Order: sequence, then C-alpha cells, then structure tokens
Amino acid sequence: MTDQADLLPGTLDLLILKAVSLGDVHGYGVLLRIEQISGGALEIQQGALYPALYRLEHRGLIESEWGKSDNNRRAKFYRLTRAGRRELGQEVESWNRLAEAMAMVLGATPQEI
Amino acid sequence: MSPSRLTDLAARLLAALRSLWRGAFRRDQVESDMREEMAHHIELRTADLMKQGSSRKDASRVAHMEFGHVETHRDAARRSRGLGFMDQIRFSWLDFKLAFRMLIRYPGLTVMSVLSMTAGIAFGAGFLEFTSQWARPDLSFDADHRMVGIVVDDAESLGVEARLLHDFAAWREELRSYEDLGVMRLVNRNLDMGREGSEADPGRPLSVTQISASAFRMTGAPALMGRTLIAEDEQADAPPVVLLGHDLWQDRFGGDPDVVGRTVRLGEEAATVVGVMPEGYGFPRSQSLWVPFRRRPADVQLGESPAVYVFGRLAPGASMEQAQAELDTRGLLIADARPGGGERLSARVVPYPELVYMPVPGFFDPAFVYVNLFILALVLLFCANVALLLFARAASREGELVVRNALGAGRSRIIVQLFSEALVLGGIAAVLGLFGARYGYEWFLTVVEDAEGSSFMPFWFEPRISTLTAVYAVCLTLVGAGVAGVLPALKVTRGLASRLRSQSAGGGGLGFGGVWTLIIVAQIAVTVPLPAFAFIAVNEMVTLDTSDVAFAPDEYLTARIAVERDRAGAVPRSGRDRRCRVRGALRPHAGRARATSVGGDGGDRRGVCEPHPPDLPPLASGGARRAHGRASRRRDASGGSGGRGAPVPRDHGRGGAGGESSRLGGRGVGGRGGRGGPSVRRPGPRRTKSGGRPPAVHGHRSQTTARPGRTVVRDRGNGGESRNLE
Repeated sequence: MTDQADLLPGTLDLLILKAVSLGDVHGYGVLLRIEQISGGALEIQQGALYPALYRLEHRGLIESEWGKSDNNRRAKFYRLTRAGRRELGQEVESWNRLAEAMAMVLGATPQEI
Repeated sequence: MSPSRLTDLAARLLAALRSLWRGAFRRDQVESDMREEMAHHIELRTADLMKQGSSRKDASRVAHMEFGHVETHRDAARRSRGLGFMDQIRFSWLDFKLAFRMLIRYPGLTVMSVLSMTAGIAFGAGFLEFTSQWARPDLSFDADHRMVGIVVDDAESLGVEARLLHDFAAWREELRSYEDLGVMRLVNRNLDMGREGSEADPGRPLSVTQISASAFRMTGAPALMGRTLIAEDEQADAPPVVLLGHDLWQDRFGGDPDVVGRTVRLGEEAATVVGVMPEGYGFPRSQSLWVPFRRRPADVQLGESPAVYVFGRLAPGASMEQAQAELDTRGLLIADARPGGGERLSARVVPYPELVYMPVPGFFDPAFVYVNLFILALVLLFCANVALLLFARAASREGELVVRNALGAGRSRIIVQLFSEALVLGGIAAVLGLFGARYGYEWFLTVVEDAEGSSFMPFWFEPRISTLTAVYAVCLTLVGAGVAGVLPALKVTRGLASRLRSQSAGGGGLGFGGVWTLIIVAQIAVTVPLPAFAFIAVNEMVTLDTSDVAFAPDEYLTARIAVERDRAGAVPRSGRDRRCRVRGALRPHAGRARATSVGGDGGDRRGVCEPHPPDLPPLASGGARRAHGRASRRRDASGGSGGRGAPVPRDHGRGGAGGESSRLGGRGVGGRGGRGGPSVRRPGPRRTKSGGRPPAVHGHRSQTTARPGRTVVRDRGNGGESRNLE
C-alpha cells in the first residue's frame, strides 16, 4: 500500500479552489501546490486537472489571464472570483462537517453506544 | 435570496454565457489556448523531471505518460466548458457536402421534396407580402403618416355621404389641423389623342381624376416631364390641361418625348398636356390621368354636390386625434344647411389608404393571423410529405447510420446531419419559393386587375419581396426543415446501438411508430377531401356559367353608355345622340335585333330619338318567366309606378345591367364603362365581388340622373360577339 491516497469523487474541484485561493497560479502550479500542501499524499491525474479548471471557470468560480511563467513562457494564470471564494467557504464548511461526522463515527467505541 | 447570493448568481451566469460565446464564436482561439496550456504543463513537468536527473528524452516520455492522452483530456475539457452539445449540433461544411451528395444521389426524391416545400413557402411568403402591404402601406410620400382623409358617415343610410364639395370649401377655410386639404373626383372620359393613333384606338374610355393641385404639393412628386397641375389650372377661365401618368404615356402615346404641349381631347373638351408623372406614381389610388378640379360650390346647389373625396396632410405636430377633435368641435360646417339636416352625418378622420381603398387592419388582425396560421399549417403539411420521403430514405440508409454511430457519431450528430440535408432542400425551396411568391403575387394582381379594373388595386400593392417576407421565408424554411429533417431523424436514430446488434444478427429494421402513423393519417385526412372540395368548387363555377338564367343569354349583348354632362349639369344632345346612334344602327335589323335601355338617364325616352326605335323593356324582350305579378313595362319608366320593381325568377338578376360602382377605381372605371363611348359585353351569370349575386329586383332608374345606363341588345343573328357598337 502506497502513502498516496485516492481522491474522493468531487473533491478535486475543492482542492483546486483552495490551491488557487492561495494566490494566482497556472495549471501545473496548481498541481504542485496540492502535492506540496498534502505532502505528496494526494495524487492528481495531471490531464484531469484541466477539464476541472475549465469547468470551474465556466461556472464563474475562477477566472484566468495569460501572463509570464517562471521560465518566461506564456502561461495561463488562475485566480479565485468572489463567487468562487464564497463557494470555497461553503464547501470547506460542508467538508469539515462531513469529516467531523466521519471521524466521530469511525472513532466510536462500544462504550459510547 | 440575499443580494450577495444574487450577485454571485449573476456573475456565474455571465461567466457561463461568456464561456459559451467564446466556445461558439472564438472556437479556434479556445482550442489554441487549450493546446498551448497543456503543452506548457508537459514542458514544465519535463523540466522538473530533468532537474531530478532524467534525460530530456526520458523526462519528456514520463511527463507525457503522467499527463495521459491529450486528446481525451481536451475532449473532456470541451465538455466541461459546455461545448459538448454544441459540438454535436454544430454544422460543418461536411454536413452540407454530404447533403448535396444525397440530393444528387436521389434526384426523384429531391425534385418532389423541393417542389413540395417550394409550394408551401411560396404560399406563405406571398400571403405575408400581401398582408404586410395591406396592413402597412408603403407610401413614399407619406413617411410621417400625415396623409389622411375625411369620411362622412350617414347613419340613416348606413353609407357614406360623398356630396362634400361645400363642406370641403368650408373645411379648407376653417380647419387648422391640416397643412393642406384637397379634393378629388373620378370621372370617365374618352381620350382622343388628336393625331396618330387616334384612328387605331378611337376614344377608349379612361378613368380621369379631377383633383386639386394641392395633391401634387402634398405628395411632393415632381413631374417626369413638363409640370404637375398648379393652382392656376383650377381657375374656371384657365385653359384646360391634362397631366399624364407614365404608363398611359407609354401605352397610348408610345412614350412620345414631345407629348408636353400636345392637345388631346378628353370627352367633349380639348386639353393641353402639361406634363408626365414618373413611373409608379398613381395617386390617389392607381390613376394615370389627372385634370384640375374646377367645380366650385357656387356651381352647384347645396346637397347636389358631386361625389368627391376629401384628403389632406396634417399640420406638423398635429395628430389624427387632434384633427378628429377639431372636426368634432366644429362639426360638419354646413351640415345643418344640408337638405334633410345634418344630424344623421358624422365626419371622421381616417388614414389615407382607408380613404381610397379599405380599412387598414392591424398587422396582427385576427383574420390575418388565422389565415397565416392556416398557411403555416399548410406548409407543415407539405413538409410532412417531405418528412415521409426523407424517412423512407433514412430507413434505407439505416446501415450507414448504425456504422457512423458505432464509430463515435452521437445521436445528436446524426440528427444534425439529417437536418442539414433537409436544410439544403429547404434552402433551394426557399429561393424558388420567394421567386414563386414574387411572380405569383404579380399574377394575382393581374387577375384582380383583369376582373376589377386596372385601378382597383392601389399603387402600393406591388409584386416585390420585402425584407420581412424574406425573413419569414427563412423562418418557414427552418421550421419546414425541422419537420422534414428532425422528425425522421429522431425516429431513425432511436436505439441505434441496439440496432447495431440486431443488424449484426441479421435482423432489425425500422418500422412506423405512433407519430408517423399520426402524420400519415393526418395527411390522408387532409388530402383525401381535397379532390372532393375541388370538384365541388369547379362544379359550382360550371353551374354559375351554365345555369338557367330564364332567358337566352347567347342572344344578348349589353352596352354601357355613359353620357358626359355639360357644365350646367345637363345631358348634352351629343351624348343623347350617341345612344340614339346605337339604337339607330340596329333599326335596319329590327327583324332580328332589338335594343332597350336600362338605367342611366334614358335620353332616348325624352323624345330625342325619332322615330322611336322598336323598343321593349328587357324583361319582356328576354321572355323571362315571372315568379309573381308582371314584368316591367315601358310606362314603369315614366315615373308613374314610383320605381317599384317586379319580382322575377332569381337567376334573371345575373344578366342585369348593374350600376356604376361608387368605389374609387372600382368596376365601371376604365375599360368597362365610359362616358360618351359604349363598351360592350355579354350579359350572363357572374358573381359580384363579394361572391354573392347582384340584386335581383329590376326597376327603371330615375330619368333625372345622368348615371351611365346600359343598353341591352338582343341579337338573334350571330349570337352576338362582343364588339364596339360604334
């Protein structure tokens, strides 16, 4: 068993929103940022990142602008919109509630029942 | 919902629309951006791997492997931008190329489909053009819709009071809502051109418009040659002048460039041609010969004014409501002095087209809407026929469609392809249909002119196709292509995957479903009664032409002889002489031909024609059976009978003399009637304009009027072919 965990369905959008909320970043940067924050525990299929980015942009949660990357190449940078920030807050809250509930269920002992 | 949430919603909606717009209209840019962005990702990953010690080649290979299949991700990216469905329904040149190939491959089906859709589109577009020209007349001289007419209704007779010469004079002095007012009257005159051509075409009667010179100021149209009528021409002692229309100038004067200054004879009066109006100018309705209106109120007794039409142009800033209010306030200025009082009369201001034609209905008048809906249903029926044909063709291509589906073409893609084929058919049909509408409309106008006279249809009814009609035809084409293409496609593409399996197993095949059964039943329901309706209609026409009219119509001719009054309003001797000459011409043939007068002023009954020709009232000479009582007798015309009619069998009315139409430019104006010159036609069954029959009560008209009368000639010789009696 590896140290990397599979992403739960529907969580990729949340991770991207979080990564983008930390600062303007291009697609590959999003990938690196998630891996860096998770300590390499979360593996994202690289190609799948872009459909998710376009989907979020289509929904108005992030917006993009072409700029220059570190290697001085043209790159598309993403940033969170106001609607995206509000969505992220709601999703984080929802996720935390779920995680707490899951933790409570999974940490339950026979004495607590 | 909180304002911030609403703002978010609007922002997200805007983002989605922007994304779709870019995908639809800047597709190349979107694709290029995607390619560049993914390539940049792989490049950065390759660089990172190289930093970790991999060779460029290995790093690139690993980066590509980690990224996955680029095309698959791009496809997923397109779908996530909402472009998936757009891709499915997007037209490509390939679709149209395939469609044209199909048209060539199935020529019979193509011809039938195009003809069917062409008929529907031509009907629809032609009718819409007609209704739009009726509901929204395009009057070049009235762009600001200030041209109006004043109509006086008579509550007692439920008709229109047209004896308005005195009222017009008063209105012109008093009313302030008008920039200009004018008056016009239609009369028939024989035009004798004075030199070459006059012998070849002697005195054919024409509709002449006696009109105020102000009309030409109001319409603002300059003369093509010479000048228009001017105020000085209206003076009683001014030399008689005449203004020609373009068509008349071409037809009767051969486009003579020296026509201005030429003297012609209009009825009893010689007049000088002062100008020629440009092509298309037909004011007031569809006229082409104008003379100045010279009648003054002082010339006639109050209440005996000639029938005139009053028109005008509203003053700048004045509305029809204001003009009506002013008219209401001042009333009919001389109404109370009119014989019989003016209480029964009420004046109203109407849009100009309504004065000279018919009430202008709204574009969305229920009658128009219903007929348009009916025609739309007709178009859909035609398209349903095409749909059946295309369905049959699609069914024969089932194998091809199944394979395309197996190769990745979704159902939407195949539907779009079949829709493209119908669209190509519809496009060809639209072009042909618009031509059909244009020339069909021209044919319709010609038929109406033949039936009702050349000036019956106002000049703003023109055989042309407006932008609105073209757009409507495009809409019809899209709807038609939708019915003819999408409906069969929906049926054919249902369950393609399962049919692939069936085909592989050697079975399968398409069958008619409920919708198609319904379409076929509807078509049969509509088309089967059509021959029956056609038969009934034709039978009715034949009946009208051949029914028993209670006399021998082959033995009769009618000659309509109108006599021009002199300035004192009397019927001049020359006019009476013309009637007498007709009667006299028949005298040598008294054994086999007899003539009698119906209607009009009956000049011969005043003892002018001596000796009196053999004469019998038409009912007696026609030998018609009476239903009750007796037929008219000569003494009925003396006034002693008080104008009572004698009842006769209903059919007898069809061959009657009929009266002069009081409608502007209606029947009786132009070639069918004429003052001073008889025109001849055979009596016989004919329908009135409304489709009904002419009044079936016969009586002698008053001898005190100078209305055109009709001479009925019974010719037992050659059966009486229509000919000019002079």
